[in-house]
Amino acid sequence: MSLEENNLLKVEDLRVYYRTRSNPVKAVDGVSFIVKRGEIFGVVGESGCGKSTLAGAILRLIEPPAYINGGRVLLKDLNLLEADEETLNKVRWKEIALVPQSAMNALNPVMKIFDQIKDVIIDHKCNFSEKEIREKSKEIMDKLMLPSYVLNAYPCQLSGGMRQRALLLLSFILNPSLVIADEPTSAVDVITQRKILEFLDIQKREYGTSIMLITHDIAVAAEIADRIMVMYAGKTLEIGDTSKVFENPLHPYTKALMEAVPILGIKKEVKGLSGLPPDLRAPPTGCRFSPRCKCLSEKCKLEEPELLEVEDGHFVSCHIYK
Amino acid sequence: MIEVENVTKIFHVGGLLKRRRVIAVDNVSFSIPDKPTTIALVGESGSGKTTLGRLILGFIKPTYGEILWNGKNIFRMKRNEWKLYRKNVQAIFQDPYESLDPRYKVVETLMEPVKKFKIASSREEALKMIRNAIESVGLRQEILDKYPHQLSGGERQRVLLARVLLINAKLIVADEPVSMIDASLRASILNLMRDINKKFETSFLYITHDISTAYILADSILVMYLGSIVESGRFEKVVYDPKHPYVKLLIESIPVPDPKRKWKGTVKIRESEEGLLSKDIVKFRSRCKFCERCIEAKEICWKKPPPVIEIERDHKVSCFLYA
Repeated sequence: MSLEENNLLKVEDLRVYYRTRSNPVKAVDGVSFIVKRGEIFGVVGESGCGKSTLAGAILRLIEPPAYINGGRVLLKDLNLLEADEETLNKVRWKEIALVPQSAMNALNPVMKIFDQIKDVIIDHKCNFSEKEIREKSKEIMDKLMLPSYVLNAYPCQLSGGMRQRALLLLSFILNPSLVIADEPTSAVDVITQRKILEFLDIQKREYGTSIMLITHDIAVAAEIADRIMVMYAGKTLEIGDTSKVFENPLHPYTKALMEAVPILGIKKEVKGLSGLPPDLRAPPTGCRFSPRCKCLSEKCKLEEPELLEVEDGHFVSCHIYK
Repeated sequence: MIEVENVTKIFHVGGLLKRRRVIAVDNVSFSIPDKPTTIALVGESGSGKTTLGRLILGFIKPTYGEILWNGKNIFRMKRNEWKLYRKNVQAIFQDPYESLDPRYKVVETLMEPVKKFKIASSREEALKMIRNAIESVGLRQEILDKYPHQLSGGERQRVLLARVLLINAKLIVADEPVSMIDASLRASILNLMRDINKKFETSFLYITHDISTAYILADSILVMYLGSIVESGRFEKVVYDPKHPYVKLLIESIPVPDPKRKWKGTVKIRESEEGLLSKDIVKFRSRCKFCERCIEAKEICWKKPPPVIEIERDHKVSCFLYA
């Protein structure tokens, strides 16, 4: 397989803005990255950095006042930003499935879980018999440690953690090539979190499913992501193999993120970062992290840094490395 | 300083027809010593940790049991004793957006307790104290003239910490104070809490679901599961060498921000077949609550509630495996 064929999703210079009465909020502003086949690609960033907007924009599921202001999203050869609704509907669930953040509201409250699974399958004209659907569901449910009664339950009868996992069941039922999981563990306890992350890892290994894992928690990314992208204020700051990014973080913000979290039994001292992320209606000129950056030079305030490949497959957007 | 003795809190939930009882806190006992310390109260959602915090704050009364402050039951205190208790035991909550009155400037918010508890003798003295407190929590003086909506979540938590410093409280019940704050800002709030603990000799009851953040602060730890304390003791003893099967799983499942230290194997736990809230509470109380999920459960675990066993000094576990 050539390098190109190994790429499943290619996002180029994607811009997603929110209309406001004054200037638009530039939530995602020129983000480019690649998700390879059979990898877990972690997208790490703090609240308001644009990571959820990015997830929605890939499947064109964003609603006004958000709008896409340019860029390309290529699934193999298909540009999703130009595709018609019919094509998109075929792609959704079957090629790319999105697990949205609010699992509480993502399921249809008046349908049993099993009927919602059937709905997805019928919608995509897959000729599965009821028995096959049950078998396939059972297989995924076993991995997720979901008890069998979940299939015949309504969402309101399930706990938050179970709903979250029911949503994952739905997302994986058609074996999509890419699953975008937006904070899939934000509302669950640590043990369930581990179970869910282990499940994603198993799906990746058994079916070669690519997973774009969006999280605010760098520890979650460190556990299962093969590569990670660090976002800040609508921009990509760093991309690289998880091991490289953790061993040798290049961007001052990535370094600060790592200094801010303790490691149980190993690192008790943590350091905070002063200041706040910028107002995205009027982001600072130059580098968006510059007002909080310790390694600031004049150039950082004037010129926006570009994403540069500093070592093999390790990209950073910072003037220090020019 | 505080003794919690066999405290149980039962809530009645539901309407007229489907009323049921939920045991939020089930026969819990522990004490908070006089000397300044930080105790982490850890558990997943629904474990009763917030209810226990609210009981200690005196917001709700226990169904059974007593909470003693220097030997006195806090619910049988005289008016002025109660006022003193409320001064000494302060709260900080998860959502800093809801804990500040939006109509008050920061300076007014901070003036309120000074007046109420007659901390200063004049307005000038009060302002001086407020300025000191603001400085101690790492905020600039300009913030005094701002309204809450002009502040970030981190700044609001700092204002609340300044308020506690002013009052010179002995104990702060901090219920998930950083869970709504991003990691990069969270670290400085946790460091600030640790400094307050050391410098001003204020004790903390740090209620959280996150053992990693507790690591920064805590001297000791209490782990709750469905209303009961399953394991407790010195933080390092419990976390480095957990005994209870649930606590073992909990510690093993914490994600580590270091790709070189990944989880080993898969997590071994059973999923209970019923939703936990629908449990028959009488049956449920007559045995270990972790039974159906425990892979090490023995016959006896289903028959009797587990005893509290002292493994060593400062390390207790409530489990039949050690009986």
